Order: sequence, then structure tokens, then C-alpha cells
Amino acid sequence: MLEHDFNDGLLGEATPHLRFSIYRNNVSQALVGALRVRFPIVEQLVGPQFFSAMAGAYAAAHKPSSAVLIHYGASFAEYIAGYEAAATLPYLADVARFENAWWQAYHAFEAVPLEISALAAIAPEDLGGLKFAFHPSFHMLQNSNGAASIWQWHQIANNPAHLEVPSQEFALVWRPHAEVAVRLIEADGFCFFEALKSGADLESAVLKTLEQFPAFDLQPNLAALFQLELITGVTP
Amino acid sequence: MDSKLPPLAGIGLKNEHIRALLEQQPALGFVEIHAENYMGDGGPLLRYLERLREIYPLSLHGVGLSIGGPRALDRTHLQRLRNLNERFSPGLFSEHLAWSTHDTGFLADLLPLPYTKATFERVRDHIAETQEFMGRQMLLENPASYLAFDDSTMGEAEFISRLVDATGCGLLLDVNNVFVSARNLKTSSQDYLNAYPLAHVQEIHLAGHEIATDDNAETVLIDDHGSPVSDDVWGLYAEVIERTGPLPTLIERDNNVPPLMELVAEADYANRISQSRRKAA
Repeated sequence: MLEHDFNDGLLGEATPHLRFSIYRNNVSQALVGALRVRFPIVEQLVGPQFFSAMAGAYAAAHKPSSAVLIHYGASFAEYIAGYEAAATLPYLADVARFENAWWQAYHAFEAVPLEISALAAIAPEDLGGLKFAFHPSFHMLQNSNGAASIWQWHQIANNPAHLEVPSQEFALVWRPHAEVAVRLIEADGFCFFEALKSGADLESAVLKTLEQFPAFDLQPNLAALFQLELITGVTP
Repeated sequence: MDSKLPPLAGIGLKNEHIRALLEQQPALGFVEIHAENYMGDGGPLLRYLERLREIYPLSLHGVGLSIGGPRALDRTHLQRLRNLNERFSPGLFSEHLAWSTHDTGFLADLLPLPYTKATFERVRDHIAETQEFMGRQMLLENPASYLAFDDSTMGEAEFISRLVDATGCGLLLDVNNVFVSARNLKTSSQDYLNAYPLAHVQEIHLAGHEIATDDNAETVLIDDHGSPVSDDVWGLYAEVIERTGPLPTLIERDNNVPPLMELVAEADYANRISQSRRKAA
């Protein structure tokens, strides 16, 4: 059947039809172009030629599952992690994961952040059992390759001459209003947010954080949840 | 801003131009969006589009419905189109005479189909289904062709003409595609326009094409939307407008996107051609 022939030739072995390659190139270019838009810092890090080759290899192996190409490339970071030619750049997959989170935050549902005054209505004895709903755009990334710092530096300069990569970093990516926000926080705060995000109530999250970080200070971290506009709901 | 598009030129909305458009608000008949770029759950693009919609009429142009495809239309995708239609009240809604979905995925290009009785019935049913689901008329756009199918039993213009009769759909005439296809298939743009139901055209697309070489070292024109409209295509546009009268006309640019004002200047040029041809007629 015609469509099968076309399909097999477009992303598999080419049918040697004159001008057939135009369609094949168009498909490949559309997919590589979608990845280019979604992973601009990965492209800056490796250069356009290397990026085209890597993205082209991914596109040949991964067809989009939807006509909505803004969803295309969700598994590109994992592909990079296993891409042999990029094995000498261990941070590259992490930067892609970071850009992936940024993109998902950019296109996430709208939600109105809650103000801290919402806590005033909670009886003190109910605070320990409080659970928090995070903004639908909220992502947490932890890594040891400095991906968030690399990403931030590339927002300012295309080719930073000298990078000091932190040994561990804890990043938040979310979109409280129109634009995506990025923030690096301390390890204890990250642990606390992560516990709450996974559904723990306030008391359990504090206890879990104190186990790892005995000096954890609850009050500024609780305030930060609201100052950063991460929370869209609380349930006693 | 009214939904209805005036018979003036507009431009395709590119992300990099949104800020300048909102700040400078240049005179344009309308802006057109690729529907699929606005199918996220939320985010800045949708917010900015709401603000742009207060300034300009809008044309909603789908590139992913796969009207010509062998599979049943994707109802989820249709629903996404309907959501955009309801939220932004576009004056026109269009899709391509092409296919792009397949059992194993989405192919991210507008692929050609042979023009036969079987494909006619399939496309006819898909257009009817789309118009019923959307609750509005759809415009069908002619494709750019690089090859012709041996098993076609009618010409493209006749195929489209019969679809108009059978479904009541309107037409989006891509003048660059007419030119590109005629060159590539060694046919005549004039013959195409003579067989094509010009009275049903409600919008025109204009774009640049690339001049390349195929595997047999023959010249082939590629509809890449990567350069200004060529003189040949401007000439063909003038001939079309002389026969149809002024129509909403889109300047399409998807690659090598220039500063906003260069596209606005191309839109102005289209308006001047359109005005002079009206006077001549």
C-alpha cells in the first residue's frame, strides 16, 4: 500500500524513488528543528553540526507520537546519555534534562499561586498534617554535573570562558506567571520540598529532612515555598 | 477585534516577533498561527496570543490533521483544534490536502497522495467530519508536489474542485505551491488555475522556495518558506488577484526568519499588487 511504502522509506530504508529524498529530508529537518528549539543550550555546547548529527540520529529512531511537535523530544536526554560520541561530555545529558524541565514548565497548565496568609486559617494543631499542592509547572532537578549552572551561564554568554562547576546543585524550575523561573537552593531545602512534593504531610517532611540535615531550619523554608509561589493549594 | 479577515495581507506569527508585534502593532490585515504550536496546556504563547487577538484578526492553520491520510481522523487532535477555535475565534480555519499520520507515528511532513476515486472519498469524508466537528467551514490548501503518482486518475485541480462540490469547504490557494508543483512536474500553472475553482478561494498563501537539484541533476523547487517571495510567484499572484479580486493574503516564512519589519514590508508589497490589479480590472 502506498502509505506503507512512503512511511518505510521516510524513516527507514529509502525506496530509490527519484525526489523521494526531498520528503525524507523534510521529515528529518522538521524533527531536528523541533529538537533545536527545545534544546538550545545543548546545541550551543556541542555546536550546530554535532547537534544536527545527534538529533538526526535520534529522529531516525524516534518518530513523534503526536502531531503536536512541542511534545517531541521528551526522551532526547536519555538518548544523549547513551550517545557514544557524547560520552566525553557527561554533563550534556543533564543539561538536556534541565532544558526538558524548562520546556515542560513553559507549556504547563496555568495555576494561581497561594499566598502564605492561607496558612493563617489553619489551626495550629492541624499544621503537622498539612499537605501541599505544587504548581503544575514545578520541576525539581538534582545533579552533580553542574547542568543548571551551565544552563544559567549560557543565558548570559554563549561561550563562557571559565566555568566553575559546583559538586552538587539543587535546582527548581517552574512558571508561577507568564515566564519560567529558575532557582538554585540548598540541599536541606531541596530535601524538604521533595518530601512535600511526593505527598508527605508537613510533619513527616520535616522529620525526614532533619534525619539527613540536623540543622534544617523550617521557618525560612516554609516561607520560601510561598515567596517563590510554588504552592497552589493546602489541605489539612 | 473582529474575527473576519479583511482582503489585505497578513503574516505568519513567529515566536521571535511576538514582542515587537505587541509593542509596535504594525498595520496588518491579520496574523496566522500554526495551530499545533499553540496546543500546549498553558504558558506564555497562549497568553500573548490572547493579547495579539485584541489587535489583529486571526487565521488558524493546521498542519497535523492528516486530512488525506488512510487512518481515521484523530478525535483528540480535532478536539484540540476545536478548543483553539473556540478560545480565539479565528476568522478562517484551514488544513492541507496531504497526510502525515501513520500507524507507527506522526511523520512531521505534508506527504502527497494520488488523486483517485478511493482517495477522493476518503478526503471528502474527512473534510465533512472536520467541518461537522468544528462547527464551521474548513479551507483546503493545495500542496507543493515533487513527484506525481502513476495511479492518479484525475488532476489535482479537478480533485479539489470535486471536494468543494461534495463538502462545501472553501479554499486556501497557495500560489507558491502552484508554481513549485508546475515546475517540478513539468506542467503549467495557467492550466492549473484554469481548472481550479477560483471562485471558492477565501485566502492566499505566498512564500519563498529553494532552487535545488534532484538525484538526476534536474532542477527541483522546494517549498521551504525560507526566503522572500520570488518574482515569478508575485507575477502569478497578480494574475490570480485579477481574477478573484483582493483576498486575505499570507506571507509565510518558517525558516531564515527575518526581522518583523521585513515581513511587514512584504505584506505591504502584496497589498500594493492587490490594489493596482483591482484598479486595472
